Amino acid sequence: MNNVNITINNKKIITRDEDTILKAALREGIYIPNLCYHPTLSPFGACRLCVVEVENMRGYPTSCTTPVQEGMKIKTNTKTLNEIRKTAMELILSEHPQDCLTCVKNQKCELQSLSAYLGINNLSFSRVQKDLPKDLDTPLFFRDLDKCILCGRCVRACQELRGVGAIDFIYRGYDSIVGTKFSKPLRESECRFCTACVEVCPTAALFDKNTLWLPKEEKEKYVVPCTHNCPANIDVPKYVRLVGEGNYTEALAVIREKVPFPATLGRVCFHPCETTCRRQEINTPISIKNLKRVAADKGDWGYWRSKLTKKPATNKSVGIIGSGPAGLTAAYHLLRLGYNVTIFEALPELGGMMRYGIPAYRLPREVLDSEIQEIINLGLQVKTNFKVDNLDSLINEYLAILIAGGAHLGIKLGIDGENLPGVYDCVNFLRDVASGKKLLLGNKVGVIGGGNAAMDTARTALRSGAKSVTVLYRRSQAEMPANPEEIVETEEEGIKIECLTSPVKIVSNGQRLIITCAQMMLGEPDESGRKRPIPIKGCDIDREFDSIILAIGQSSEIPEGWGVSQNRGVIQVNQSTLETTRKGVFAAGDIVLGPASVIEAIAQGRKSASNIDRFLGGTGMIDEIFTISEAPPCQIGRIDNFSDLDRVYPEYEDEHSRINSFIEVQKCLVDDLAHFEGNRCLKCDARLLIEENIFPPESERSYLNEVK
Amino acid sequence: MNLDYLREKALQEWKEIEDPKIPIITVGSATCGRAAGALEVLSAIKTKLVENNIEARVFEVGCIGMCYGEVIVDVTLPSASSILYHEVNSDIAQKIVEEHISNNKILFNHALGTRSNLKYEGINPFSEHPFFKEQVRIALRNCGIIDPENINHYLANDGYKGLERTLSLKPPEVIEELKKSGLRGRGGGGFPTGMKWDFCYKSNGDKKYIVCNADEGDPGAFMDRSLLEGDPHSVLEGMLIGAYAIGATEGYIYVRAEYPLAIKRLMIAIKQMEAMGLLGSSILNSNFSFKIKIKEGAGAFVCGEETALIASIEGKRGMPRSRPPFPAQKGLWGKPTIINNVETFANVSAIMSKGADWYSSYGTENSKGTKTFALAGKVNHTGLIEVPMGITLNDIIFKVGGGIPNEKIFKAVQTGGPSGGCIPSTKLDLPVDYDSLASVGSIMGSGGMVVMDEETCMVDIARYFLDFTQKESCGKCVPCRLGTKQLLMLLEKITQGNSEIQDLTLLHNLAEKVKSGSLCGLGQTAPNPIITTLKYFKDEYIAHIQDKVCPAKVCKNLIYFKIDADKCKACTICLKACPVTAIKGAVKQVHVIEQDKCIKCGVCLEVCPPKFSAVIKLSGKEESKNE
Repeated sequence: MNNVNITINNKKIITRDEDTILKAALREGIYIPNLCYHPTLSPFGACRLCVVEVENMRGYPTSCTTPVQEGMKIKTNTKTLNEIRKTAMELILSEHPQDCLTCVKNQKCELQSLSAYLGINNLSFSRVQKDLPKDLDTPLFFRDLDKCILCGRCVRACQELRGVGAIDFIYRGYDSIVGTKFSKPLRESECRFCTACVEVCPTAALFDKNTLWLPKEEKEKYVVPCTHNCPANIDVPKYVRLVGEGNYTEALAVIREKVPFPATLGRVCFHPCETTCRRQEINTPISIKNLKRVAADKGDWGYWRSKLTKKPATNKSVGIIGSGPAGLTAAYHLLRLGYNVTIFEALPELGGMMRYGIPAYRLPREVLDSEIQEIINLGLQVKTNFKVDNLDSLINEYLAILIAGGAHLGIKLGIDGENLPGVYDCVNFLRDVASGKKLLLGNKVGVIGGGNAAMDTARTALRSGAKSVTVLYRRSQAEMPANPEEIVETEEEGIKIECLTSPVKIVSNGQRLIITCAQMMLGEPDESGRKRPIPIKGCDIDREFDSIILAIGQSSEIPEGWGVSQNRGVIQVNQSTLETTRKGVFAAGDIVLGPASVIEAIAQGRKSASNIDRFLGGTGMIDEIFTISEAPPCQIGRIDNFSDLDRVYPEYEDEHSRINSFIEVQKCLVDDLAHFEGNRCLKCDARLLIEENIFPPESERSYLNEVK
Repeated sequence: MNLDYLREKALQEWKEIEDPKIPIITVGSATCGRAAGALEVLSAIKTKLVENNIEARVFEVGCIGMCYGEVIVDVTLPSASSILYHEVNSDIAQKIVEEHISNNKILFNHALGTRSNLKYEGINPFSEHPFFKEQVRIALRNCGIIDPENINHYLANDGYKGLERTLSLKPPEVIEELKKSGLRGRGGGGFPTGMKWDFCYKSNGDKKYIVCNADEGDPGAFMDRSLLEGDPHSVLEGMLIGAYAIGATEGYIYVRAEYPLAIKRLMIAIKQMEAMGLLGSSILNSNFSFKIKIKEGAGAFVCGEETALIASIEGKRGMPRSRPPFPAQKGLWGKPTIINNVETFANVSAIMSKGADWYSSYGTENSKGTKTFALAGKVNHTGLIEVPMGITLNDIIFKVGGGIPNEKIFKAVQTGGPSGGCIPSTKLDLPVDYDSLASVGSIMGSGGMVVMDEETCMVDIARYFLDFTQKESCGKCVPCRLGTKQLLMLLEKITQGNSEIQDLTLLHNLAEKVKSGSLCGLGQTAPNPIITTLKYFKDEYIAHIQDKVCPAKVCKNLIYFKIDADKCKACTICLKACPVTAIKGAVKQVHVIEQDKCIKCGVCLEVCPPKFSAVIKLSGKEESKNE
């Protein structure tokens, strides 16, 4: 690379020999109108707006394609050049729809701003219009080819940047358009729906569905929803890609950068990443949770551990109440930051709801134990069977206290007979089963509720000796809060789910419990957005059960002695710091959120650790970097029948051993399927690497100048 | 392998044709000859020979250029001068065998001339025929004479002598010789070939390519096809010389898929070259190695543009890109590449064989040598010609071309294909060379030459060419894709009589903008027909716009047909021929055209017997409604 001296508009400039005139000019803050040029793409020279005059060069070369040469004398703003530019712009506008005021790109359109910049206020030419049909069927984005100006950015993005080549110019002359081979729908083309084309489009010819134009900082929310919607902000596309490449070790390290429970999450996470995965607009979302499990189960060769850093001891102590995902995550990060951490657990073992709420057939104990052991190994002091009812003594011992007590109280229905013998609540029931207690449920068990806890309860009851289990839920299956996957598994195991059935009262006939249920119908949506169940009068039905387990919700126990304010059953905290009303006392997890999920509790654990560090004089930086922060590859290439590739599913334990023991139900994905699934990813994150489109500088817009 | 030995054998074979012991019959059966029935003629001759039990040698040759006189048959009897027949069909062919070959009776009515320079039984040498007299055939030296599928014929006619000489020189010496010859690119641009080669020779690259551009896209142009069909080796030899000069090891011939015979003959030629050691590694025992691939193009006009052609070879859509970098620096697969036209290569082989001084003795100061043209349109002798640079348009049209048919008046000649300019009669004395043509707003192009007479509407001609270039635009750059569309729309408006005088300014300004603003040669030259007709035939535009009249009576909206009641004999011929039953009348009832039904197809005018001449074509628009 050598320096080259050139002159632009009499200004002497030193630039690099691999530059084009346009690049050199833009770097120097000299704007040359351009439209088909894009900083991330190769130059094209089609729009003819960036023409310049170069001494001793024939004609009007395009500055985007012309390399600089020593001693070049360039003019960018002569009358002739502006005439050529205006003619080109008027020609483009002669076939461009002029519904700017109602266009989705209004005020965000490069064509519009360039037209203003060039001062086009009149069209010399006849209007022409191809009236091409709008493509509204393509997943993720709209195509309005009438608004296409054939700048070819999308074609270059697809061919050069991505190595896909699903689109190209087709037809000739005025009839030229950008399309697919044989004008097939994009779904049937080689398109990989990376939406790089949408990103670079200067007009509204291509625009994202479900969103309007977003500033760069907000773009990630829509463009990479998996990461954005992960409470712990795990870099989902990165580990999915690594699993697809078979690099489980680094994939695990990517997950470990944010959460200390990869194997647990890979089994039990409610995966909001999948719920928002953009691939589902094409067919089915990526099986992200299962890929996480693959990374965790097969990738732990100590790589992440070798990168783990522990700061020097601070001699400051933190006490944590509760050893669920929130408490343990906070402990993990605080230990790394050099604090002395003591965890207090009321139950005999660590893990909170992960151990006492989630049944072992979903989360085997050895998996949980080994992830907890990693945290203990960092120097965690553990006090089990230690219930903290009063903070006063701890306050003196610890500089900060985190309350992460979870939600271990079952909620009652508030109907007659719910305190009869044989009626249990799910929290106690699951805890008892997890602790190894034998319960006499009888043959026929009813479970009230429709959430994940109800599913866990029903399936656990089945494994604890019940012959038949029925779930009663007051709304319809569509409104059930449980994960669809778990509902399917529940039904597969022979458990009946009766919907639109609401308990009215329970009586005992001495031998069995008789539950009277109202039949329901759905009315208008309530404040939760779900349709409100309304009892149908006179249609009550009685059912007989040996035992009934209520699984309609949980709440937290917040002893007075903690001295913290509470509100509606949860501890009141400063939402940005998670500090309670008592100084130095923080709270996280279900006790703040109400009953939520493992990943949300982990996110709270992270947040509380960060804030406790800051409270104790640290920076609050808890993020770890285990993997090289490399950009996702831009070249994604072709995959045959990409749109049709369907989600893969893991194998299941066979039906018989499944319902007769607590053996893990789902198996880990085999390698081939894991690679397949990883490669099914749209690689949405690569879009974020594309540079911003260049707009004319506001200050130079000629209509503004004219007004002045 | 020794070429001297092979050439000696070839010369012996050729002697059998020049001075034969048995009758030699050749039939011009390039695509043009075949269209006129050459293959039927060929089989008629063969059948007749068998019937008459005559031992003779019959073979196909390429095109000699006389399109208007196809099919051409040449007969050489032992110890007699060869006689060239034209306008031969199967019947005449049989007569040729029966009378000329069997009984030595020449068919004087069909004889065009003798092949040798001597008169023979009252028949003049064909070189004295006005069509050939002004011609100098360098590129076309062997076309119509040798069997293009027989490498020995080429070898016997000084073939591959240029290559032999080239291999004895160093590449810069070859380039120097080319520079000295003054040869300029025959594809249209007219860039000095030697300079271009020098540029590429000096470019750094681990690999270099040479490409023969045979993507002849101009409508009505067939110079390259004729050359490839009539003498493929002259082109291939030129490619080898170029490859040696620039250091290329691989060559491509980019030829239209619509030229199957040319492709077939090229493939045969390449096989023969490989067999003789003229292709492959260590050609003629030198350290020069070279191979050639044929790439068939799908027939996009723009693929004749060199950067579009490169994209097409690379498997991409044929779209030009901006230069610099030039292909000589960054061409095919990003490597230094030379692209020359078919005719350029045919000239190169002649130059290296006969020397730069010989070549530069033809032509003008800045345009050396000769140029082939496809002479077409309103001219008596349509065909493929090769004339020395500097010959006047007048000589080409009125001597070689034999003037305008039907005693009509010459109006204009269009050179350079659809993007050339229209040159008026006042410029007939213009010498034909690159610079003179440019000075009147036209181009040499690849060699299309369309003659127009008084019945040609110049506005309509401009519209016709714009329609072509507009459709063939690759769609990449704005001025070409949308500018030519707007130009075409303006011309349509004018020819339909719907325009106003200010449209002329718009037309002219936009034409200039498209010319200066377009990316490649297609767009830069597409407005030429408009700019030149506006310059030389502005009155025709004004007649269309202001008077709503088409002076040449071509533009349908501005003409109408009428039956002269005094002359109509009520024969009902026109009445029956009218496709839209717009003619009223009956036997013994004078016919009248219903103007609102008439679609102005002109069939009535064509069918009206000349002795009546009752149908007349009139210009105007408004009067038609008053009929």
